[in-house]
Amino acid sequence: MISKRDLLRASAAGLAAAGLKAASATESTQDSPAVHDMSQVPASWMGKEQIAFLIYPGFTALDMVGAHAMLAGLMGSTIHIVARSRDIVKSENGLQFLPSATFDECPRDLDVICVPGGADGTLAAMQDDNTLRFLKDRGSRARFVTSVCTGSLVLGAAGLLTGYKATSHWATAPVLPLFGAIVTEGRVVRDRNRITAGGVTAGIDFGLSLVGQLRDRQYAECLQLIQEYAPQPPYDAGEPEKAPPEVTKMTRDMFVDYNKRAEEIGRDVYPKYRDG
Amino acid sequence: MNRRDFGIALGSLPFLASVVQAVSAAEPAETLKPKIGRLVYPGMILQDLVGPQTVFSILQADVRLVWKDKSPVVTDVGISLLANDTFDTCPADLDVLFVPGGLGGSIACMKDAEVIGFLASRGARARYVTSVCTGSLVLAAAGLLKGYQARSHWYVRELLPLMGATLKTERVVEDRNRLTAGGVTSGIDFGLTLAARLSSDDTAKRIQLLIEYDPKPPFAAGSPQSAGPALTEQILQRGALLIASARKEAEMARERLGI
Repeated sequence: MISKRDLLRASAAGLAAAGLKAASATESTQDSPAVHDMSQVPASWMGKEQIAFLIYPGFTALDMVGAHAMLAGLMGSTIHIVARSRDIVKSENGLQFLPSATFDECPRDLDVICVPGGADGTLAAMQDDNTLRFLKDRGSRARFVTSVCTGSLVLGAAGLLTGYKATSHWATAPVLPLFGAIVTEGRVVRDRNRITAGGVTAGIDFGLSLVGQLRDRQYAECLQLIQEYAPQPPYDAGEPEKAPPEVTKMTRDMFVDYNKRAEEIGRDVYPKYRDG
Repeated sequence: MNRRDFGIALGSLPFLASVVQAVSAAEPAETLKPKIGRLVYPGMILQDLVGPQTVFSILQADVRLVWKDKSPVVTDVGISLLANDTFDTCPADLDVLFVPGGLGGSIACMKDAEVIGFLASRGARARYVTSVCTGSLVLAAAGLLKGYQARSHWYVRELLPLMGATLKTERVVEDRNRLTAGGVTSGIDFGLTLAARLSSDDTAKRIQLLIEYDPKPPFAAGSPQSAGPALTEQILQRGALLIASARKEAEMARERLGI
């Protein structure tokens, strides 16, 4: 019998049909054989990762959704959308998200903890004791401690990047040394179990590379083909040295005040979390 | 609305991840803001929507998520969306009409007279008629791609000519006021292309730099050509039932449209 849930799953863009997609992030252990023909799936393709995305008011939705879209393709995994409370969280672009777990409800041992970035909301998260203590606790045991965009500033404030190579949104990377991090070139920077990605869209590259890491190359390639990830930006202006100088200048100027505030907050907050 | 309400609304989804909704529709309309109507529907792909949404929000567009009603719409990844406009309340004149993909949900929309009627009415007047991924199958079923060059997710794009479109293979296909893009992630390329049309090349470049869109996929398997025949065939085989069902709907639409 086909239930409503099966229909919802089957509709998942052919991701379900391709046997690669756990429809709801959290229920893949109950996957219906009608949709997922496991007979064709190597055992090594099933996992049971516990993955958590931190969200907070004003986070950038695409930072989270780009990586989430890739990690949600990990069969057998569970993804938690974690916030201070169960209240709806409004993202920077206006889309609103309902958390699936509070800090207390989030599993203690995570395979992946990921912090998306944002603008003012990120600066607020950097000053929120509950958020930083949550990150410090889960980050101390997680297999991978990760961020997209300015999410690395929050990791830094929580003391999780001390002595690690890391990156951030290109315009905010200069703030990282304040947290003892070593600014490193690269769209996705990995140092031991810390993985930090550049601005916004870098979350997609991060998510896909982590899928390759957690399963294998062929699994990741399958996901890449299903999501047709063969990007062709209409312009070559995605990095400061490539964009027209006036565009780069204007964008850099937009961040002067932001970085100043991030540094002030960092100087105040980081010493409290650096050592425990 | 509390968590219990969501649980009830979503029926059998036991671990509802999150609910998304658009900015309040109550904000006063500003004539300078481009008015963008975005269809949302059960089974649609969240990334199809959020990629372009990021660009539109930087453009400060007036974005409406539109569906039959305002109950949660469950997307492919289990995260739900709430429409802030219904078919009745969506403005008659849109700058942009947009349809995301998600094959199972797209097929359901293709055979839904209410959805088709809504798209045909807004599409006839919109400045731009657009889609990402399998959303173009729904536009085509509404007769909106007849005589236009268009594109869809690679694994169903051959169905477009059945509904009167000329198939092109560029990542974002632009023919007069129709912009149709390939699968899922092409939504970002589409969003930037449309931003240039609604504003200027420089604005689009500024947005590209702001979202650091200098993609570096860790693998090179994003298209059937680069992935090779074995992987491509594997996905086509696993999706065969859904793809066959999409073909059937495309053939029904062809009859309906008299093509």
